[in-house]
Amino acid sequence: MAAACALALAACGTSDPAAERNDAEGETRTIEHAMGTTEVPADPQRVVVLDTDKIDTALSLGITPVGAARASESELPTYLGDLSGVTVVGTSAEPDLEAIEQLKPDLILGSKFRQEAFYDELDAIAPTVFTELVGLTWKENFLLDGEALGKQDEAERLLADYEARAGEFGGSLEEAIATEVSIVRFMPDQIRVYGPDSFSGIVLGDVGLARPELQQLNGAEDRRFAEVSAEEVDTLGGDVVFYCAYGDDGDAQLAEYTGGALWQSIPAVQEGNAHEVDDEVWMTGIGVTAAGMILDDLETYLGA
Amino acid sequence: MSKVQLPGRSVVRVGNRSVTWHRRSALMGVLLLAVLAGAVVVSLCLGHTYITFADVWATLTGTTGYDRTVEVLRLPRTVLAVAAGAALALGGALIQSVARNPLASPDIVGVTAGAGLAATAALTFGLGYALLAPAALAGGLAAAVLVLLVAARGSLAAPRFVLAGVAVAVLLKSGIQILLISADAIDAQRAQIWLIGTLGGRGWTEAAFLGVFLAAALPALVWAQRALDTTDLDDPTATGIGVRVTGQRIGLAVLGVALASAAVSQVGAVEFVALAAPQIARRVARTPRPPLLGSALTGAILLVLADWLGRTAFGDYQMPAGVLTAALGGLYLLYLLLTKGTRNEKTTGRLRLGSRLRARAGRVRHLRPGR
Repeated sequence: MAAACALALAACGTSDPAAERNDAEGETRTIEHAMGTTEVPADPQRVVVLDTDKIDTALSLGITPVGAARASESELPTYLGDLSGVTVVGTSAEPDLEAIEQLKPDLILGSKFRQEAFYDELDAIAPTVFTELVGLTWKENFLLDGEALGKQDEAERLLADYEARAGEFGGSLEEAIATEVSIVRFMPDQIRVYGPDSFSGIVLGDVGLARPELQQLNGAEDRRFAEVSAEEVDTLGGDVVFYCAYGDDGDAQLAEYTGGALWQSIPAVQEGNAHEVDDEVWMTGIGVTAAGMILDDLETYLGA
Repeated sequence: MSKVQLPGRSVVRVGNRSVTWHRRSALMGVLLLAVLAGAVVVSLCLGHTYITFADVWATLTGTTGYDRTVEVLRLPRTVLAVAAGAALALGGALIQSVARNPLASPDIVGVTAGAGLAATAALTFGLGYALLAPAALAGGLAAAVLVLLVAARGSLAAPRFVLAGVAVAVLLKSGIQILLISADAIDAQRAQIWLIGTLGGRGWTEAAFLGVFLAAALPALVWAQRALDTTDLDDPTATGIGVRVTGQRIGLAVLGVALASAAVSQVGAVEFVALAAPQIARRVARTPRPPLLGSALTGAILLVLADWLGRTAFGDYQMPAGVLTAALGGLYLLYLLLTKGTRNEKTTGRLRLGSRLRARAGRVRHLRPGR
């Protein structure tokens, strides 16, 4: 045990890996992020991303990551096209550090929210930039990750384009802008409605669409989502309902409830205004490409 | 001076001092140390990249291309697994000895549940990551103090200690469930991983804490090894020869829960190491109660292997070490239950059923006239 202690103390004394890197490599930029400041390569080539939102971000900016962590219940997203060249490096909650190291990345993107415990190890492998949160702050995250990837201008342009498009679409709806839009997600163990601070809720807000009273989550501390009792599915409200399911168990829930009499009694369902959408896009996408695809869905179903 | 022969023990005399030791325990200590060394080597060499032992050695003593893999990714976790496994097993051995019950482990007597409740609260109420381990340590110790207070009303009698522990643990576990159900999904998921126990993302900080803790506990452990001999006596006998059993028991129990709380606070509620390691060591050494050194070594081996399997054997999924220790421990518990028909000493397999039954019948006959 004494030997273990000695080893521990000796290892604590080793020099800062970030400092060593600076001497070894060429041009770098300094990024301020949730874990401090980090020197990242001017033009990163081998990027590892540790959450679904950052897969969207990297690909939106034209960078295919060499490695990506998947969500615990699913594989890498499919809406971003062929990701067969991307190595899966564990899950967002438990990234596989040795697999990441083997990819010899030159930049790692993650979030303090999910991977704080792994920061020191990750930063020893490659310069690591963390956003504070996932989801609510997706636009800020996109800009920070874009800056880390050396594509700040492009990130700003893509975000501005998206917001302009959302605004224009909202304007083109004219009176239909008052349509109340409902978002429902079937989870393995519960049914949720999504509020104004969720990713898809933010997109609806950017368009300017109305939300049913209950889904505005007014006064709630957490305005991302709320649980709906299975017995009250018919009280969802909304002129148009978009629904999706998380994972295989969620799919089973979706099939069970949408086949039931309660669901069929919802006015929007009876009028043919309930539409199943892609969970990867509406829920876990959390990036500018996914946001654009939500706009596509809205144009399809709400556009004149 | 009469020459007394203790069965299975050897005596070394230097001048007028003498030391006796259990021969088989000593032999097994050496053997377990060798197995632990083997497990550590496996853990350092095998992973996504295979690094030869020679290269690992060169990395530890100098600089090779494998510095980061060995010194950042593998060595800290392995050292932590050794320290945490040893501390958990020592805690388990002490608590089992005090409770005189092979199933009394930190999992049963509230330490794990107390630490778990505090950690779950820290994670779901959004306290910083830095406060997680101190909160868990405080929670584990608080739960243990509660158990000891309840149990100490009644000279810390063994069954009372276990029952008090179970009651507190159940209470705390319901608290954990309430927190998990009302928490945000992502917080609940992080808390679940903590509750299972993992070494992922942990390293030198945690290993150093436990190393210092174990080093500080060393004198107490030496005392414990001696004290256990007397507390192992049944209450009337011990009182009869004038041993203050209650005081010693409390001391041993406090040491046990402190070690277990420290380990749990650093690696999460890794299950069954504290339960299984002392019992495995006891059977290997064939001693009447868990040997402390043997338990510590066995615990270290179990956790090193569980962590190594978890991070290498399941493809891209990083299986938390606690899942594997629970699986191994569960199998072991079944074995314990299936073979505990006799006085749970080693079963050689040679013993025929008939002779076992005769032995048991003999004991029953022996008991009858007295009671």
